[in-house]
Amino acid sequence: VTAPHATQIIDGYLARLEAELTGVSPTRRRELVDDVRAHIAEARTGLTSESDADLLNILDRLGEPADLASEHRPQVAAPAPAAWRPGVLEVAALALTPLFWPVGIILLWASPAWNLREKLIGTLIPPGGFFGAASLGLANARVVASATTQGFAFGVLGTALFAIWLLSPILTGLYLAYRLQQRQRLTA
Amino acid sequence: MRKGALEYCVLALLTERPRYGFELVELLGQVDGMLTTEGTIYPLLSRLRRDRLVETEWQESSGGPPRKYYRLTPDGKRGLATFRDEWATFRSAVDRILKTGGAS
Repeated sequence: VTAPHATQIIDGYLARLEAELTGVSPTRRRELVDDVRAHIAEARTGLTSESDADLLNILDRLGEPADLASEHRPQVAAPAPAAWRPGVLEVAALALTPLFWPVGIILLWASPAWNLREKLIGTLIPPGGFFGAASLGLANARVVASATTQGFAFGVLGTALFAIWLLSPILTGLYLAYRLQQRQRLTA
Repeated sequence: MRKGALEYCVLALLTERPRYGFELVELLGQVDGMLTTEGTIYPLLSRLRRDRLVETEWQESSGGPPRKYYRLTPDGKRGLATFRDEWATFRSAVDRILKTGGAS
């Protein structure tokens, strides 16, 4: 007696096996599928009256198609994905973010090379890149120029802050470049 | 390690006479822990054939589906003999260490 869904169950299993074997040479694929088919046929002769559950048990003991296929893979390993390298987009984004802020930022956000956190840092430290920092400095210089003593003290503090502020695009650029390099090493 | 040994267990099962795949699965299945999943034997048999340690032939069975028989080749016999020697040495070395903890 044949199990009610014998064809679906067995063909389904063999189809999954075939699918798992994409990339394996056709000769070997055929061989493994034939062997497994013969195994199932042989196992079925041992059953006096088979049920769907009996068939499923046979297939369970055979194992997952993916596991069977993976035994074949070491010899036919798919070529490793090419190591990811930063492209023109990343280089341009790195160069332009400090110098030419709006364009650099657009490129920065367009590149998949950085994650959200890195993109936010690149955008906001400092906002406007060098020019943003410089115009802030200019405003500060005006305060210093029109200085009273009190204004002068603020001015010194402001100049110190300004120096850090002016350095920040460079630091941000270095940080983004460092993350880029790390990512490249990870995928190499 | 189990996989490496499994290969030679299969060869050893073929010394007496040619056997078909399902038969090998049943014999190995009687040993605990030898076959985790039955299906993995077939990629292994395929490799043994490609390495010319076994050769195969499909034969009709009486009243059942056709069976693929595996037979040991001269290369397979030699390989098995080498493994037997190596295994004996390896096993006694491991046994010695396990028993004495390395103290001689």
